[in-house]
Amino acid sequence: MLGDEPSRMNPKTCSGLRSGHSGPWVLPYREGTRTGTRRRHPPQNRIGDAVSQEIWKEFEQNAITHSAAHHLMAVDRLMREHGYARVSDVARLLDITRGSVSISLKPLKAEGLVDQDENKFIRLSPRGQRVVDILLARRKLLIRFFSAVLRVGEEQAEVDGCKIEHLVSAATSTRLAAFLRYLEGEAGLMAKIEAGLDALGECEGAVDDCPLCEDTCLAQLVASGIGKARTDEVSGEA
Amino acid sequence: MADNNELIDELNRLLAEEVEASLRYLHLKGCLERGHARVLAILDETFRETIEHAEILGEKIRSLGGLPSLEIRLSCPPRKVTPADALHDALTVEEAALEAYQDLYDRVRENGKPAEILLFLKEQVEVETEHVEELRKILKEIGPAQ
Repeated sequence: MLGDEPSRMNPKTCSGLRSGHSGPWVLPYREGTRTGTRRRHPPQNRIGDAVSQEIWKEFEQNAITHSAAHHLMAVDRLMREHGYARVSDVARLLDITRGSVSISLKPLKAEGLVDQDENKFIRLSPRGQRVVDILLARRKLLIRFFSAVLRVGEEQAEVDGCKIEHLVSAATSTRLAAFLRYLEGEAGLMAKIEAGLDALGECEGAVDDCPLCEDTCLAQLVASGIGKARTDEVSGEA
Repeated sequence: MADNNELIDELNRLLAEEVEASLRYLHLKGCLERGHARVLAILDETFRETIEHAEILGEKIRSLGGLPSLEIRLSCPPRKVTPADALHDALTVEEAALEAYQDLYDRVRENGKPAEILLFLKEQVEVETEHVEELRKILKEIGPAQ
């Protein structure tokens, strides 16, 4: 009955279940559209068209898509909380249709990450469990970094951790773990970072003496958000 | 089934299943390799039936005093689809729909009412069972997906 069924995942925490995207997230470079723009170097924040294309290809070929990560973690959570997982349970937890879950499980079964028995109960294979454990560990590290180091709000840290956990490489994850270990192992260092960030305040957009930026104020550019930037692109506003 | 609102919610979930399935069929039709008229006809017919089912579900929801509510998340990237791929996907979707109708039918049957909804669900279970069996039969003839 409904009372025994799992509650839905909070869609605000991570709503992007889609496995495909319409194009690169890297925005095209436009000269002279922000405060203090001037060219000292070639336009490096194209992030190089070629490079961004390569990154995008890598993203597309990623072994675990966002959708797959959600499905695997949903099965894991259901197994831990209820001891079983069916298509209907996963659908309810992720707030999607059963048809969608069934379609999404097909490649996961083919990859040997999940099994489904004759009674339609789903379980993670040892390999699938390993993938989930890695994803959860990466998410934990990312959330810790975003919230404790960057001082991002808890909910935003979770959303961003969820978006990235399946994309970030093992090498970067390992270095992130080492970085956090170092920061948290040094007495007073975290407090110093917090105080430093507070003292820095908001960026005013001047790039002349900025140790980070070259042509364009990166802080102001990223603060606008991709959705807003896309609107600007369409309307032609500076 | 606890109350009418819960039943309306469940019927809205079935509505989402049907609408999403129809969009999948539309996509499969568009991506199917050329020259497979029989499979194209099956996809076309199934597409139309899912739309019909969605319309009927909307009417049933209205008859219970509710309004259709639709929330689907679907992404169908471009891909080459062989006849076997298309039929396997269709079977997966139809099996999911059958299970969804069967589950709700079993739960509504516990109360035995509303009779109109119970009858509708029973008919849908029969229809979806027929679809699943047909697809399995055709797939046996065609062979495995790529």
